[in-house]
Amino acid sequence: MSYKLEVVKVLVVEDNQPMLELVKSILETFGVGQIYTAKDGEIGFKVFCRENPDLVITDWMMKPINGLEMTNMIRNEPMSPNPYVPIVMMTGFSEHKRVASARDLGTTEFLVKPFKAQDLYKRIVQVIERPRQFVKCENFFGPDRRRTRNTDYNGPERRSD
Amino acid sequence: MSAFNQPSKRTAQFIKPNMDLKQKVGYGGISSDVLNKAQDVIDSRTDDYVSMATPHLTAFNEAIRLAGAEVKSQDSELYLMSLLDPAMQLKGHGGMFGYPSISMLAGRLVQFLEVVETLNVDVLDVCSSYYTAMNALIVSRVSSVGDEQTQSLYEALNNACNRYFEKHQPAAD
Repeated sequence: MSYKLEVVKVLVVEDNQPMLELVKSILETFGVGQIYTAKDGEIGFKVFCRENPDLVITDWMMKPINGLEMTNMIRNEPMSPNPYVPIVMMTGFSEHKRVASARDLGTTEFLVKPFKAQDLYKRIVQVIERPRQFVKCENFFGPDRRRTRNTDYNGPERRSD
Repeated sequence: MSAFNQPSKRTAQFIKPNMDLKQKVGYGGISSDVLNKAQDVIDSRTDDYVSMATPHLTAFNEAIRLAGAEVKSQDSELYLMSLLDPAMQLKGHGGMFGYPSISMLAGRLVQFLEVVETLNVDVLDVCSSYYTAMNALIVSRVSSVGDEQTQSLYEALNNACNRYFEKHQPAAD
């Protein structure tokens, strides 16, 4: 038995055409049934609102709206059909401070370019098998920035935010 | 008041994840055969990486030139970002389209640019060296990381970065 990826809808947002085609080809080889594409975050958000995909894979650096800004729109715009959708951010950045800033704006998983097919597959498995709980507070809405949480803890909190 | 005696101030709401995607796709993952085929898709691309990399190299060189003219400007972050963007594109796409040599050099360049805090002539000298080296690899179509030319360039550029950090050590607190 294997995943029935033919029933899954994925949106890929990438401004580099060969890279967009490459990611699409990899997903087709995985057996993903419906793949939508967009060349920047502005078009990506429109396609997202129209098609309501199960997963978004996006590049970071794009104009006029980059992947982080699109993530913020997906999470917070009232017209967004699914603010909880898993979002995989592809980028050449790998420094911790960049990863942290992507995470703080609601990215679910981070995929560092260049990557292997196995790396993309692992991110897909992660969002299928271990979906992140969401946090909603005054200044943040998005996947829990901590991977694990001790929900049994009832003691005082050392940090107020 | 000690931390232990403080009342909880957290007002965050935790929302349990739904398992919609899991319910849709079921169990079992995908086979290693499919994964190998997907990797073949990457490895067998015939895109012309040289023409893909050239605009990014040109943009990087132009960013060095512009930053050089404004090196006394206080707006270091803006100029560092204009260097970082094409460097990151070169790092990200080289290895995806048959030029891991470019990813290796550009990856080290991205690390360097993410660590330096202010723009100065020495940063631009290091960037110029990276530009020259990556341009040489592209022009001579050297794609392998195991190539002797790639290795010697990588080490020379790495040494240049180390010399920069020896010269510009962060001030002690």
